[in-house]
Amino acid sequence: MKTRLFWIIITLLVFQIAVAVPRFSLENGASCNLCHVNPTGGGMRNDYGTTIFALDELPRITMESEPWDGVINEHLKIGGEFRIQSLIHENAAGDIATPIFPMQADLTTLVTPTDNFSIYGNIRLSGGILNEFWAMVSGLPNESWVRVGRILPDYGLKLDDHTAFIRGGNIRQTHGLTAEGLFFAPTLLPTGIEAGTKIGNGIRLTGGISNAFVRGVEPSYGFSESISDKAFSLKVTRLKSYFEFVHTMNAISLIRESNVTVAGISGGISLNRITWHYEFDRVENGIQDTTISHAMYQELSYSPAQGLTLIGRYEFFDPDLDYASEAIQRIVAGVEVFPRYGLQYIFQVRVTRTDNIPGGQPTPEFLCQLHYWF
Amino acid sequence: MNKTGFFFLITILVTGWIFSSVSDKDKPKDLQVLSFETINETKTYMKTVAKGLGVKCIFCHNLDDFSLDTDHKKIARNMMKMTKTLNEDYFSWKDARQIECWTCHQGEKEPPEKK
Ligand code: HEC
Ligand code: HEC
Repeated sequence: MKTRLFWIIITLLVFQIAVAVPRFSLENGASCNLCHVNPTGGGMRNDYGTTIFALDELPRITMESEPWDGVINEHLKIGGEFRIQSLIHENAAGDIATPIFPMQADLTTLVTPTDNFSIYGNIRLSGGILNEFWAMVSGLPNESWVRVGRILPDYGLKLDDHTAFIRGGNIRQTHGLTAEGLFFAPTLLPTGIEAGTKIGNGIRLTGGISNAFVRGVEPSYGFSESISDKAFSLKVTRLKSYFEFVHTMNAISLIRESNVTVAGISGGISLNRITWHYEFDRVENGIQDTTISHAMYQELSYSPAQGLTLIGRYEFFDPDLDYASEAIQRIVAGVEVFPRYGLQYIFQVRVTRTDNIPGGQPTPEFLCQLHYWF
Repeated sequence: MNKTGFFFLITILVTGWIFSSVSDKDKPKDLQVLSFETINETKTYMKTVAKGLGVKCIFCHNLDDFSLDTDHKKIARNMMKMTKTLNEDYFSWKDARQIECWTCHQGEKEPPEKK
């Protein structure tokens, strides 16, 4: 019982974030801002994301009439995002636990006083956790934009599943490793400035400077930090399509914060109904001092029909370079269904394997998630 | 928020207002046949085109930049020209039904060949 309560509380606190599905971006050979108001993806959808993609191109059943798209007037749009999840697993006592918890309940607002200027805010209905907000100038030459605020740094694949080892991983360190994933925990929203531009056909560059977040402590707002203590991030993404139906995306991401260096390559290829995604990361001094950590993500998905996707993925994380000891692997098989506008079901089976860790191997977990948004 | 942050915010706000007046973000870049003033109007029409042929936008567009030409887009542009001529020159009487992509295509990429 105690473990279950612990689970629920921790998950309530931790499982909250604006998230994105890089797969959609890749399948359409377009950048995240095709569908999202956030230029680096996640959260509220824009006009295309709502009235075209989510309405006609995503769900199994499309409707004739357009539902309300959150547009209150020309200058104000609201959105909402709700996720409820259940994770069926064996708890420490060997009983089957079936917690059901609200993962996310967010209201988002976008104020656009003028075409090129927008203010975005995310209101967490569950309260407590720091909110995402920013003010942005866009529509500058070469599709450039600049924004300030509390922003999730643009790094690698911004997956909708923050439990992936390349994002936040198992934040509770369920399996007893020093770390079970990178530091992109859902609460990671450092304050800073970020800018992006298109430097060529299909090539985009984003960069940012923010208060230290990898090993730094954000709540101090960096008051005592000098500029060299700040976190610098840079990402170059290249989108390229061949024969009108093969789409590729490749990106290099870098984060530098004092003696911490995080470097990664990520991307994928999409051929009609089949999509493959990858990411490899190398972290120097970021997880622990003086060690090098590695994370990897591989995802293969197949969509037999509109609104239905079968997904298999493999993940690896090693907090301290030597592959032999203390590493964790996870295999996930899942189904995603978009029955109709604004509704998604996710079902997954997750098997975790740990190397050279005392204690038996963990039993499989079953995850069900209901996701509603507008 | 410290002084630098505040300074950045003010700069952004001011730049925003300045650039907003010269915005052409909502203007289509390369319309050769259609005569819509805004992207929004263009999209509303495009939804009928996509439904008419039973395809997604990606059938004709590079979604990273809608103004770029593709093979299908070039054919479609001719079809739009044809439809426009048909409507203006041949279906021009009062209350005449207007030809749309759907009229021939009926939700197929290519209208059926056989009777
Ligand atoms: C059958 C082909 C076809 C489909 C499908 C299609 N379009 Fe188009 N689209 C065109 C053509 C052709 C033009 C250029 C028309 C012209 O030159 O006047 C165009 C132009 C546009 C433009 C203006 C681009 C610019 O800046 O010059 C936008 C925006 C656009 N389409 C959006 C969409 C959206 C959104 C969809 C999906 C709902 C879509 N299109 C589906 C053929 C298509
Ligand atoms: C008068 C009938 C007619 C109308 C109206 C019409 N089409 Fe077509 N369209 C055809 C025929 C017939 C073909 C097949 C040509 C072939 O197979 O060689 C075709 C083919 C096409 C193709 C090529 C499809 C492929 O598989 O390569 C595109 C794209 C297209 N039409 C777009 C449009 C759009 C967009 C509209 C509306 C603006 C439109 N058509 C309206 C008769 C029409």
